[in-house]
Amino acid sequence: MDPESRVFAKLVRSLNDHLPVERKALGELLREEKPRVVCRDGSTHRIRKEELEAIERIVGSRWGKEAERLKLPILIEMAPDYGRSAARIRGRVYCDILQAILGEDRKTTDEMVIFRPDIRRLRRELPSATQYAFLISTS
Amino acid sequence: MAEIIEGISPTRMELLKLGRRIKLAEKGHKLLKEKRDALVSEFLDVVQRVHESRDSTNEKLAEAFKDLIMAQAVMGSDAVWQISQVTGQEIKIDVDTMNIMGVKVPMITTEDVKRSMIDRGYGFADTSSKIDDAARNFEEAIGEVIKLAEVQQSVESLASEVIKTKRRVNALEYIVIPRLKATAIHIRMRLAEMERENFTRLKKIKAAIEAGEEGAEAA
Repeated sequence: MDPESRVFAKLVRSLNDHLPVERKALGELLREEKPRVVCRDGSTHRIRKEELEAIERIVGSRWGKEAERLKLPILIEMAPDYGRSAARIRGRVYCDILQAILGEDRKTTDEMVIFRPDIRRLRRELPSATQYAFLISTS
Repeated sequence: MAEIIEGISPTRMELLKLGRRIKLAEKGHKLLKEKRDALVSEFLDVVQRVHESRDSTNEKLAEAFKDLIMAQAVMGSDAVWQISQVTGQEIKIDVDTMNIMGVKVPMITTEDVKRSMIDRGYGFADTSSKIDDAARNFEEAIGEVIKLAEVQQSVESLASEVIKTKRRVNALEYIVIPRLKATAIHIRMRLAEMERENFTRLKKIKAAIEAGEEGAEAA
């Protein structure tokens, strides 16, 4: 890797230092007294119980026991490929949660692209159960 | 036009390297801009929450103090003070952190601090109902004050990160990228110039050789 690429890789790593080393399952987090995940920078990120319960209510009815395996926090992937301030949510269950929060009833999908107002709504509803991830443009 | 980077030799190799650096700097700039936008959006949300929280805290405290003054007027300040001495309460606060794009903001949680009249520990017979109202409103206000402390600290942490990220974005946008581009243009111009010089030199050499050959033939 040339020095420039190394610098860039370091920048991307530093932008994503707040992401968890390992995401935890919803069931596991609900059982913890103080639900939290360990971030790549060594700090901890606490997730509010109320948010976990809200997620459980949304996904529990549709996915039943499967919902317990849902990995959290939900990643809001900021992908420059989709344009400025566009974010991507991947995964069928995550898209279900997003649709329930936004009050939309789109066709079930594996991936959703959302823009600033929707990101703000999602963050307002689940500030600790969601995290931003910064991805590199492929172009 | 921006300054050029000193000490770079005008070669095709350097031009290629610069091209790569420009591309990476632009990608980095795009990413940092995304982070800045997301941070500003978070910041505005938290600022709004601070306003809401401050309003409701002020409202609750104003109500509580009004009831306290009424209770003091009805029962006398000394009696209210004596009651306050017997109604101690320990509030358990749990302070943790939340990580928003690398900004560590506090998350403060408390158990419900509201108590029933019996739990407050003073008698009902010789106290005014206003003291109950004041106690209830103060208990509610404590919850609001804790919420306010959380969002106020978040606002400060986010603001300083917004400033830092903005500075990095601006440095890339107004200094690093223009400087790299100016250097690339400079190298390109220098290479073109060298090519022209070379071309002229070759022409001259060719003319000199031809003149030499003609001279030899004439002799």
